Amino acid sequence: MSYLPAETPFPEPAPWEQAFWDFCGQRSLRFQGCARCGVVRHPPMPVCASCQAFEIEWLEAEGDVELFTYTIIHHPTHPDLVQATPYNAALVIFPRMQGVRLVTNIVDCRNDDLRIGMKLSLVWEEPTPGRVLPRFRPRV
Amino acid sequence: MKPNTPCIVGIGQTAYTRWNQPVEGSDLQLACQAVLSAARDAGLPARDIDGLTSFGGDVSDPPMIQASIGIDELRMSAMVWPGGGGGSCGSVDLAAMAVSSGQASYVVAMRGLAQGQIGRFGRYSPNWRHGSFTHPFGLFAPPQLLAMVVRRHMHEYGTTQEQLGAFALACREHAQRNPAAVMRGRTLDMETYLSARIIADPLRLYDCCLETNGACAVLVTTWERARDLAATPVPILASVHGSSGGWAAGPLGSYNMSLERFTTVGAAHLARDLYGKAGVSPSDIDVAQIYDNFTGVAMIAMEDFGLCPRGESGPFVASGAIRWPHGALPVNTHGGNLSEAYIHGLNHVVEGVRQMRGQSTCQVDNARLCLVTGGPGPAPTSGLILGRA
Repeated sequence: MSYLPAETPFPEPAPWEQAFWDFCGQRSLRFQGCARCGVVRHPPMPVCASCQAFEIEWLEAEGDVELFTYTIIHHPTHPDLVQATPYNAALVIFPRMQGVRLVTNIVDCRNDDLRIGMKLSLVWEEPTPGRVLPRFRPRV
Repeated sequence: MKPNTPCIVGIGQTAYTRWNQPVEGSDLQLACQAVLSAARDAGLPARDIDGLTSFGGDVSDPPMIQASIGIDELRMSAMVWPGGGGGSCGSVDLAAMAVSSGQASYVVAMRGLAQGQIGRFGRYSPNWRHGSFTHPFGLFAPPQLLAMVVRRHMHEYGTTQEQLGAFALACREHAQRNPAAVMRGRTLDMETYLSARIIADPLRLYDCCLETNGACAVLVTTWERARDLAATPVPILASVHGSSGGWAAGPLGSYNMSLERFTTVGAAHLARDLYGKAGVSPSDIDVAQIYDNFTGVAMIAMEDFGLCPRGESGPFVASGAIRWPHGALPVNTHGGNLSEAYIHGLNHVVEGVRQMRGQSTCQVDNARLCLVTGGPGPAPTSGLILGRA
């Protein structure tokens, strides 16, 4: 089972984005950090915007996750998602990793029960073999 | 006025139609019609145009327009890097820079869209910056992407659905007087607004701009040259385009602009520069044409440009302040992208010129300063302040 259909588009990541998805494939949520100054960034970028270093490391997401904002999509704009409406798309923050926001979906939660600031736990979904997506559910 | 002050001396537009109406010819034909109509308005022979600018990835490139309309000597052409409608005022900024510096003499900023042919921006597109971080989660198109920002603004400041509706209703009301408006003859009341289908909560159908076929253009030259032309010159007192840090991964990317600026359009520094260059303050503005891709973000843009305090665009709009003729600051007196047409906001510049000429169908009495803004959300975005000669 997956929150959205297996046919949901998955664009080819840019070369510097690929590692993020490779880690997801191993069910590890890691964000790109600067190996020189330690600033964490997302989406992955070729250079550190703080110190301009090109060296990177991949840091495991940690701590609480919070719902920062969301939308309930009724008009999907993509034919393969029509049956899935209304579905939510959400933006989550990692208070212990300042500067990182991740787009995702909230599962196991009615759309009416979504609340900005709610605490969340990571769940992995694999809509098609080998394609693993980080989603979140309300923390119990 | 200094001799090299840039002025808009000609405006032109084609008929505006809904995206699903047939277009005679092509994007290029629409672009040529708009450019020629701006030249005619100025009383300038088309062959004397020597510069062309645009934005948003316009498909009609300057050499094709040059070849089509018979420009012998083109001296400059430039486009604001694609950031959708963010570059609308930016294309005029480029034209202004070109004429003031002497690189060219008569520069046309133009935008043509045949959305039925080249594709609708509201549809899924596989080519989207940072799409690998948004598409797998069903987030594809601008209304969905920007709905998240509007939702957060509601959370932080208490902005309501009815306040968003008040913006949409004002634009629709203004469009009723504009013969070119696609939505002329189709009035909108709050009950209809609130019962319309949801696109991406909190954005409903009438929070979203139109998708249109059409083109428009403005002709820019210097104050010195403007005196020899037919039309009353409208000076560009200041023009800016640019973006805030991280905005490439901003609200139309993956929302990784700075968190402090999340419920802004990243234009605060541009607004500061704009008013500084023009030597005026936001309270001096008499009328504003605010790029309205979606109600909620247009309202946030009003906050960035200082038309109301941060977080207070909802009550400001609901108070009737933006409605012509009695509001203190009429906004989108042509109907905007929501109700006139979606010419990517260059139609807002055209309306700004009409206001400064005293020729709007919702003319603001004694208007002397008009603010025009570019698309809120994308990077870069832009702005202009137009004055009266």
